[in-house]
Parts: sequence; C-alpha cells; structure tokens
Amino acid sequence: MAHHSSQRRNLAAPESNPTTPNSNPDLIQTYKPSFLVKHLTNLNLSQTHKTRPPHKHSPLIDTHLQAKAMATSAIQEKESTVPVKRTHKEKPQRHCLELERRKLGDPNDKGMVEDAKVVKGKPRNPHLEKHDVVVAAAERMSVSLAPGGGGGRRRSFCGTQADLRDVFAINGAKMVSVDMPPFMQIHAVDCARKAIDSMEKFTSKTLALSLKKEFDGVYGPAWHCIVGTSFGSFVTHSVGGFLYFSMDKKLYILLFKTAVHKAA
Amino acid sequence: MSEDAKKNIAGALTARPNSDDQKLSPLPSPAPAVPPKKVIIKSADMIPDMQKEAVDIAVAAFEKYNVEKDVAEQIKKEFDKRHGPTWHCIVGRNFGSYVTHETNHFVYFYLDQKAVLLFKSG
Repeated sequence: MAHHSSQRRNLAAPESNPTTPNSNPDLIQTYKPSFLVKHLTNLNLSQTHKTRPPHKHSPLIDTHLQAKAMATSAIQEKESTVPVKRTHKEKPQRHCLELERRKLGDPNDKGMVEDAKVVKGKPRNPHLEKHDVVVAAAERMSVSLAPGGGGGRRRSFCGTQADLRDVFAINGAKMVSVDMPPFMQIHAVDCARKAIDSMEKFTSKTLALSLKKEFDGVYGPAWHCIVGTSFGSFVTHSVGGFLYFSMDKKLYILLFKTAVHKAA
Repeated sequence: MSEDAKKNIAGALTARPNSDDQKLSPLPSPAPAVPPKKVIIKSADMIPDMQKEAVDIAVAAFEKYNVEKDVAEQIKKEFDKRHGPTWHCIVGRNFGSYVTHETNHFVYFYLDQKAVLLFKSG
C-alpha cells in the first residue's frame, strides 16, 4: 500500500503547475488519433527492429536505451509532427508484479488482502530520474522538479496526467498499478468503457477478448487480458506494458504484454 | 456478474487451436485427515505429465497459502524454475481471460471452487 500511496502523491503534484487545461472531452478525443497514427509507425519500426538480436550484455546499456525510449515518448506526446526515429519497446526487460483482489464479503475466503507490489530486478531509478529531469527541463522551463523524485516513476508529463485523471474519472476507472505510457492507459480505459457499454449482456471473457485484440492490433503482439471481480495473479511483463485498474468499483482488469520469440 | 470463470485463447501467433479436455480425476490425498480436492481440467494444451505437475504444485500451494496471489506466485515461480521462463499464473473464483500462449504450454483447471490458469508466453 505504501507504493500505492506514493503513486497518488505523484499524481496530485501536477495540479499546482499552470498548464493548458485539457479537460474538454472533445479535445481528448481529437488528441487520441494522432497517437494511433504514430504508433502504427511504431509498429513498422518495431517490425524492423525485431530482425535484430536483442542486446542482453550490459544492464547499463539497457537502462540507457530504455531511458532514451522514454525521452522519445515524451517528444512524441508534446510535438505530434515529430516522426518516431527509434523504439525499444520489444526489449525483453521484465518486471514481476504481484496483484491480488478478492470479492468483499466472500465467506469462503480467509483474510481479505488488497495490495500491489512492484519488484524490479534491476536498479534503474537513478538513470530514469536523471532523464525525467532532462526531459522536463527541455519541454517546460517552469516545471517543478519535485514530482520526479517520488519513487523514480515516470511522472514528468503534467498535462498528460491531467488528461489521464479526467479520462479515468469520466469512465469510473481507478488505477491500481501501472507501468504504461499515459496515452496507452487512456486508450485502454476508453476501449474498456466502449466494450462494456456495447454489450447487451456482460461477460468477462468478451471484455478481455476486446481489450486484447485492440492492443494486439494497435501496439503489436502479444498482449494478455484478465477481467474479473475476484482473482489473484503473478505475471512477468515487458517494460511499459502493464496496467491493472478497476472500473465501476468492483470489476478489475489486468492487461499486460510479453515479448514474442518466434524461434521458441 | 456471472460467478463462473471463463477463459479463451487466441493461437494466431505461437499456438495452434486448443481442444477441450474434460477430465475428472480425484487426487490421492497425502494426509488422511485432509479430504481430497476435486480437480477438473477444463482446458489444456499441455502434455499430461506437465498437467499433473501443475495440479500437484497448485494443491501444495493452496495448502500452504491462503491468499490467491501467493498461490499464483508459487505456481509461476515453480514452473519458471522447472520448465524455463516465462510463465504466467492467474488464480481466482471469478475471472475471464483472453491470452496468447506458446504451443503445448497452457492449462486451465478447477481446484474445488478456485480456477487456475497457467500458460507460457514470452
């Protein structure tokens, strides 16, 4: 729960920054298509990148490349016309995350526990923090450095976080644990809300299918989706490809990505 | 919300179409005081020895832990150790899923009221 609290503090920090208000739903909607277009470009680059063997020699190199990927992502979000030069989203770096959620008042369950733990195998926080600061300084001169210091998570995009909170609030969604760029989070919540609203009769499997296919199609394979009111999980996911959130206060959705090895 | 847990697989990439395997096999109880758990293999794309191994590990994990995520963690880590990475495990009473798994590395079974989904991907 400590980590969860930390996330909330980070989310609250940007409110003090004077950023352009983007709470208009129309703006949010118009904002999204450019992401899709850009990440179709990413798909092409990603396919090209797959032909090369992944670098696994030095953790430092991986950390540096991952940080560069974050910088690229930041530039994309701020300037929609800048083409994507390089992507490292297919790198086989992974994190183990423990998640558990059980239904309230279930008589057969012993001891109700709700918590999310993030276990990262490599200490990459210092590098990420440095790059967060650099990116923030490059984009906005007046940005506060405080948000970047909390837990080393990627929290430099103040405007995007405002959009994120609005989208989540509108759809009745709440983030439990996340390792995913904000635009993809918005995409997931929007997709989930549309799928739920379009179902005559709700089934967890249909929602899971809808989300997985959407993300497989837009961001490339392989995504996995679990939807339910009472389940625990332990998974390994690619960097930047994990989202665990709740909707309508009782439905929980786990969406994560794994690398694809064709030779296996 | 429906209580029954549902799952499906998409095998377009690394898995071939999955066939249902309805088995009902009561497990021999290690301790006479503990009644044997009811095991139902709902769906599997996995060699029988590995299936039995998954069930045995799950039974042991349920005896050892009460929290679902601890059970899932135990099962996943054991399979990562025995059969190489990367495995994923979901345990619960109510969930639906849609995943992509490697050929011959998927099992979905019930252990009394709890469903266990275990698959390899990545």
